[in-house]
Amino acid sequence: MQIEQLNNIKNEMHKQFVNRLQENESTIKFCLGVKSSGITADKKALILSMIEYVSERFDNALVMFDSDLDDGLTVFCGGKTEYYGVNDFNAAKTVVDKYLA
Amino acid sequence: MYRSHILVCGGTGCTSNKSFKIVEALNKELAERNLSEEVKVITTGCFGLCAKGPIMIVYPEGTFYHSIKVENVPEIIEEHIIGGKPVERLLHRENDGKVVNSLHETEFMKKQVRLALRNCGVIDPENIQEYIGRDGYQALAKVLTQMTPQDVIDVILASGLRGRGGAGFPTGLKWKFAKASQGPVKYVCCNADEGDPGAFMDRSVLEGDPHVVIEAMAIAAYAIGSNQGYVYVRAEYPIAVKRLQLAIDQAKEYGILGKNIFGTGFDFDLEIRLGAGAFVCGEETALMTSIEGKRGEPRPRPPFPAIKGLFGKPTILNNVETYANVPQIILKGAEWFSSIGTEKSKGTKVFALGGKIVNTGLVEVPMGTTLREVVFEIGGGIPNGKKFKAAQTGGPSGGCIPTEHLDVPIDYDNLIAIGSMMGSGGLIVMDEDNCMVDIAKFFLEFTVDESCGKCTPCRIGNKRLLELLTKVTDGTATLEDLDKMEQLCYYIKANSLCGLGQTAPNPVLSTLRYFRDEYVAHVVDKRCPAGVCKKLLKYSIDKDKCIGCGMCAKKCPADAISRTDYTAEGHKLASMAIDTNKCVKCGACMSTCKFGAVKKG
Repeated sequence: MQIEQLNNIKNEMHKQFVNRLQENESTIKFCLGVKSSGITADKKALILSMIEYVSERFDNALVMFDSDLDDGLTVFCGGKTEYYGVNDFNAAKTVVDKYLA
Repeated sequence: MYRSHILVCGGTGCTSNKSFKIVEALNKELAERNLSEEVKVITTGCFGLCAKGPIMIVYPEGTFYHSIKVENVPEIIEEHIIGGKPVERLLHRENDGKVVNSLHETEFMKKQVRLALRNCGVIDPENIQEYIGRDGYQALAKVLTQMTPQDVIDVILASGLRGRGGAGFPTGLKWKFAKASQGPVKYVCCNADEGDPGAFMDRSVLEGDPHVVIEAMAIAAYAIGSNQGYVYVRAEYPIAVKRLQLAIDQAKEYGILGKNIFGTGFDFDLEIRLGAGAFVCGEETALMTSIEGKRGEPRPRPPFPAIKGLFGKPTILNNVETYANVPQIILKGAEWFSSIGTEKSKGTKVFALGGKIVNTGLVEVPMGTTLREVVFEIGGGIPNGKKFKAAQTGGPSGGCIPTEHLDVPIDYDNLIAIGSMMGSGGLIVMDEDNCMVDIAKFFLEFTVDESCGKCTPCRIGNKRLLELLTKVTDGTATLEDLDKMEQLCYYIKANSLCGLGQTAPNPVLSTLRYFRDEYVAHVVDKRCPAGVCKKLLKYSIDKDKCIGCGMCAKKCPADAISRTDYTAEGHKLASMAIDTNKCVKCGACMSTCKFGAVKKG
């Protein structure tokens, strides 16, 4: 094995770890509301797309369902909480990108 | 890509609580509900809170479930994984009843800093890719491509890392001596022969993060100029041995062990050697003698292993926990590591917390944390409202630390100053029901059993010491015997061949130092204040409390209890009495009596 291969595995595995961070290590949390709809097929598809998108952009971020939030997306970052009424992937991407800055 | 990960502890503690059945049930339930593609179940190493096993954590929320049973699995899948709501009934509650959602929010974890245990309870130890995903083998890649062997030694020296196996010798210095030794063949060894009663730190690292040891040993080999390593591990650790062997096989398959690692021209191979359980084989020279295929006995030093070790070649030997710190020191730097801990003891220390403590388990705290914080904050204090009496650190080589030293910051030097030692990290808590003379006798019996017999002070001296101690617990000793014991302790310490003999009297010396009144009570008053030493025990029945139900007589195996002709006021039946000549002091009467009428003293 060469170091480049080692790094490829590391990057690939990193995506797996994004949603397995210990909570005290995560700095940003993206929470999808499921209180009104429940965890539907649409919500599952949305969260998987978001996990992939976020894992490629952040080292310390969690993407999770929030059963106390009716709908939309809440972002916890730097002690602040922001709510966004987005329910599709394209809109969610815009929100994620906002926090890259 | 998975939306959720369910991590189940697969350490020895939870495995003995059948956590593998939980894993089977989870996989079956997920498959039946068509969720296997979106939720992954992972068996990890130890989370630490062994008292509450089996433990399960559901990510991304980090929801902490404990004491899980197979029948809880459908409810967790239904309510949490499908419904999105944690099952509150199964969440952890602190002593004050407060519900805690995440393991990291528990009092048990709040003061812990996990360096050596950083991957335990986080990754699947049987999957090398998971280790690589957590920066695994990056430190090895760094030293092989960016650092000289001397750079590596300089970093380890500057970090202040000291051996976690007992004596606390500076790791970098050991490596420096071995590097300076001339010769084409050198060896790197790992001491995983964890023999202290109650200690399971190294076992947990091997079970939860075996690749960290492999990576660190390869780094050490590069630093000293070695191409061959051995891990000496107890055969009684089947899960650790299995996972370590699997990890070695995977590392070889990936080209991380073997020839020309990462294309740098560096070769390193690693083999396991199983120990048969002799305590003395935890001593470095005895361990090497055992690897050589001979009877495990220590050798005189000098020459030290760095000059003449395994097969007569320069060798370094570090224990599992020491190695577990190395890759992070390389990646994060000596300054980062040395910023944790005290002036002379850097980093963290893993302790196996056991005995009379609420949160039995594995804890990792920065050096300098006080015993009070470990016992009362992390450990949750003493069960059943009992009082703390002492904590034993360092196993049979250590000593008992009394209440007056609860606020001493724990580090190598402070523990020695108060008559104990760090040892490998076993920490056994004792309460008011423990007899300190009996505790000293327990550890000395262990040492006498485990003495290899090579040197007279240890073989004969400890035996004589045990005889004197037995006189104390039997109530036949004199005050002069206590002086003789103390004198003998110092002879054994000064004249034994190896560290085990030299430290064997420590439990006797430390209890004599801090609990002399208990020794005097045994010798002068012929009384065991804690009511433990059988020969000094006497059971009796309070005739006014006894209602005469006769349950004690029914339970007595020696037919030592009979009815008297005295009936206490307000009672219908005559009270019972114990014939002390027949009594075998088993305590069955006391545990049977619901009225507190049986007394011991």
